[in-house]
Amino acid sequence: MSDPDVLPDSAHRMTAAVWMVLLAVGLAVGIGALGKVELAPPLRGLDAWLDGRTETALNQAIKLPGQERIETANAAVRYRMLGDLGTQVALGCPQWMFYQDGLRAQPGTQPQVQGERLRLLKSWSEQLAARQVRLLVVAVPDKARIEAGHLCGRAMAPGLQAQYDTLARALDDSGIAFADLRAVLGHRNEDMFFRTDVHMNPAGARLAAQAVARAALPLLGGAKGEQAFEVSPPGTPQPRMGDLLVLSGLKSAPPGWRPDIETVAEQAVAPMRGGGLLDDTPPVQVLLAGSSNGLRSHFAEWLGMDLGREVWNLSMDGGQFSGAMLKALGQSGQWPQTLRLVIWEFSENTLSLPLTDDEKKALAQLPAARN
Amino acid sequence: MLFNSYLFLLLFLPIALMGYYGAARVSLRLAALWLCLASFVFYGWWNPQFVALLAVSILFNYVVGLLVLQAAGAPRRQLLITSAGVIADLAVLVHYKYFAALFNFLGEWGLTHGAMDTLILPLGISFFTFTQIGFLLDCRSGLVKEKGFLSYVLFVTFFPHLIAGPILHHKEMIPQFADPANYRFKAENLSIGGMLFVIGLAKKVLLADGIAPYADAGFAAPSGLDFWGAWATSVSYALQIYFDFSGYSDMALGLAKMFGIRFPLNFNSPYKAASIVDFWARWHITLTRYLTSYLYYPVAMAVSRARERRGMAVGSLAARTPGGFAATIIVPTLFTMGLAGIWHGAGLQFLVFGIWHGLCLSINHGWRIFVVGRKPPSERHSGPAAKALCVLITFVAVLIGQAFFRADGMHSAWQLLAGMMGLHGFGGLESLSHAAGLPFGDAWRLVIGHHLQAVYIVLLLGIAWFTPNAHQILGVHSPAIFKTLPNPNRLLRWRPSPGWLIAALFLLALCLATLHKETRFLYFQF
Repeated sequence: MSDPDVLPDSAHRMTAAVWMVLLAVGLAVGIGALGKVELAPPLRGLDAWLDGRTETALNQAIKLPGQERIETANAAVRYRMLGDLGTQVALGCPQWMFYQDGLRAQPGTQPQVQGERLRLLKSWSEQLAARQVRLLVVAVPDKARIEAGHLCGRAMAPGLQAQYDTLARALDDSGIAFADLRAVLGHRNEDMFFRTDVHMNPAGARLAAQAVARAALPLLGGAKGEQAFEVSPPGTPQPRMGDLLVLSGLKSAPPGWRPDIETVAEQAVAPMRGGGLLDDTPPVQVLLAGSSNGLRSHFAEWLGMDLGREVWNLSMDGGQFSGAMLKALGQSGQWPQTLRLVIWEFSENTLSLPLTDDEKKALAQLPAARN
Repeated sequence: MLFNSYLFLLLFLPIALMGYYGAARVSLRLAALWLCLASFVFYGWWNPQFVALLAVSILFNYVVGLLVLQAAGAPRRQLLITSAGVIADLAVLVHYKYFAALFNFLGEWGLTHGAMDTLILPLGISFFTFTQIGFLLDCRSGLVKEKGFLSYVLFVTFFPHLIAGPILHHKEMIPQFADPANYRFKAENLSIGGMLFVIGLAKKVLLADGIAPYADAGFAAPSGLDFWGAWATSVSYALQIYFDFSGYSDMALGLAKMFGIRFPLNFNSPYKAASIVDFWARWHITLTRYLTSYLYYPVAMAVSRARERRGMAVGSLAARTPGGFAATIIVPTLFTMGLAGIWHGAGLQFLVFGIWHGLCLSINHGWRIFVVGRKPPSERHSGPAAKALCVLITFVAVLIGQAFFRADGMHSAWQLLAGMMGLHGFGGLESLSHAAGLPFGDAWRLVIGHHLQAVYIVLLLGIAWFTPNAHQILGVHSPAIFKTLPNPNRLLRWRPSPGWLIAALFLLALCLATLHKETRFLYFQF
C-alpha cells in the first residue's frame, strides 16, 4: 500500500522548475564571471595548474554581480542590528573599534612565536653591532592597551597583556636599547589612537616620536642634530577613513550603519632645505625600519625633527613584526657608511602573530636555540 | 572544490547535472563515465597532483577485490590477499597521516634524530581508504556481486561523498548505479535534493561558520578562559562541528538525490540523545556502522569464540557477570573507540577522545545491564525531567570528549576542562554596566555585540535541541536510506509548495550573501 504522504512526481514540477531556472541563471552568471577573470602570468603555467594555485585563484575570482554591495549591506546590517564588526574587528564602547589581534592571539598561533621572534631580534642586533650600527627597538603598544577605557567590558587576553613585559625584560637582559611607550601614551586625558583605526593619531604619534627620540639621542652621541624642520599650522579637519572601517567591510556603508568617520586636521612636517641647486642633504645617520605606524600621523617626520636629523624611512604597510627590518637588512650592502642607528619599530600585537614565511626562513638560518 | 563556493554552485553543479542527464539520454554508461570524470575534476580542483593517488588507490583496490573474489574457494589464500590489500591501504594512510607525527614522537624519546614536517594530507584520504577497505572485506564476505570497473570507480569517486562521507557500503550503492530508472530525470530529484542541499548549506554557512570564530578563539588560548568562557568555548565548538558536519552530510545527501542516488543517513539529532549509546547511534552514523561491522563485531566474535573454547558463557548471559561484561563489552568497545579516536588524527589527545567515549559507552552498557536491566519493566520508564537530565549528562560527556578532539594537545584540553571546572575563576558581565545611560541603539549594540557568542549558543542549541532535523522536516520525502524519527511538528513538515519554496529561496539568498567568506569543512582534515 502506498504512503498517502508520498506525492506524485508531478507535484514537484513547480519547485523543480524553479531550481532548474536558478541553476541555469547561476551557470550564466558563472560563465560571465569566469570570462572576466584575468589570471596573473605566474598562474597561467602548467605548474600553477598542477599545484592548485590556478584553481584557488579562479575560486576566489568568481563573484556574484553586485558582490561588493551585498557584502557592504551584510556588514552594515550586522553592525547596526547586532553590534558585530566581523571576525577581525571588535566593537568596544559605542563608536570605538579595536583590532581583534590586539585583544587575543590569532587562532592557530603557536605559543612559541614570541620566543622565536626574540631570537631573530637578538641575532639581528648582533649583526648590526658587528657593523658598528646601534639598534633601538620600539614596540608601539596596542590600542587595546592604551585605550582600554574605551573597551567597555572587553579586555586583552592575559597572554597578550604579559607580552610587552616579556619583551622589555628580554631586551634588557640582552642589552638592547628599547623605547617603552606604555607610560608615554597611557593614562592621557586625550585619545592617543584613532577611534576607527589601529594607528596612533597625530597626538599619539607626536608623543611617541618625542619618547623615541629621547631614547635614540644617547645612541647617537647625545647631541641633537642641526637639521631644521618646517611645521605648517593644522588645516581644516577632513574626513579620514579608518582602516578598521575598511577591514570590517563598512567603508561604503551609509552613516548610521557604521561607526562615524573621524575627521583629522592635516599638518605638514618637512625638513627645511636651503633651496640652492647644490643643496646637499646631511648624511644619513638614522634608519627607521617601521611598521605602518611609521607611515602615519607624521611619526617619522616628528622623530626626525626631535633628533635634528632627517630619518631614512623604510617603514612599510603590512610588514608585521619584521617585514621592514628584513627589507632594510636585505639592502644593507647599499647602506651609507654614515649610518649609526637603526630604529626598528613594530606594533605590539605583531609579536603574537603566526610567523611569516620570511621569518621562518630567517629562523632556519640561525644556529639552533640553546636550552 | 567546496560545496559552499561560487565555483561549485555556479559552474560545477549546473554543468555536472546537465551533462549527467544529457549523457543518460544517449547511454547509461556514458552518464556514469561523465559522473566519474566530473568527480575527478571536483576532487582535483584542490590539488590535481593527488588525483593520481586517488586513481592508483582505486585501481589497486579493484584488482585486489577481483583477486579476493577469485579466491572464494580458498579461504587461506583469500585471507592472505585481503590482508595484503588492507595493509597496503593502511600503509598509505599511515604514511600521509601519522608517519611524521610518529617520527617526531619517537624523536622526543631519543629514538630518531631531527624533526619531520607533517605531509600535506590528501583530501578525503581517510574516507576513500575506509570505503575501499570495506569493499575488500565485503568481497571476502561474499557480499560483492557486481564486478564492473566503471560502477566501482563511480562508487568510490561519486563526488557528494568522496571527501567527507557518508561512508558507503558497496552493496547499497552499486544496485542504485545499476538501476536505469535512476538515470532518468525526475522533478522530485531536484525538488527534494535542492531543498535538502539548501538546508545543509544554511547549517554550514549561517550557523557553523557564524559560531566558528568563537570556538577558534577560545581553543587558541584555553588557559585564559574563565568558567563561563571555557563553557562557551566548549559548547561553541560542539555546535560548530555539529552544524558543520551535519550540514555537509545534508548537502551530500541533497546532491546525491539530485543525481537520483540515495545515501544513508549520517546524523539524526545527536545532541537530543539521552545516552552515549544513543549518541553514537545518531552521530556520524555511517562511521559508527563501519566501526561496528569491521572492528567491534570481529573483536567481540573473537572474544566470544575464545570464551566458548574455554567453556565460558557467551552473549547476553556472559555480559551479566562482571568478568564476562569486561571481556565481551568493555574490551571490544575500548578497542573500537580507541582506533576510532586515532582515525581522527595523530596525537595522544585523539586516543584519549576515543578511550573516553569507550569508557562512557562501557559505563552506559553497564548501567543498562546491571541497573536498569534488574528493575521490573514497569519501573524502567523515566519522566520528562529525568530524560532532560539524561540528555544534559550525555551532552556534557560529549563536550568533555570534544575538548580532547579539538585541542592542539593534551595540555590545552586539560586547560579547557580546568576552566570549565571553575579553576581559572569566574568572570562577570561587566559590559552590561557600560550600557547604562547610553542611547538605545548604542546600548543594544554594546550588549548584544559583546555577548554575540551567547546569542549564537542559545539560538543554535535551541535549534539542535528543540527543532526537527532536516530529514524529519522532509519526512517521507527524505532521500536518506535509513529513516529518521517522525516529525512531531506538522508546521515544519516539508511539501513542494510555494510557501516552502519561498522559504528555501530566502535561505539560499542569505547563504549566497555570506558565501564570500568561503570556509573549509572541519571533516576535510580527517
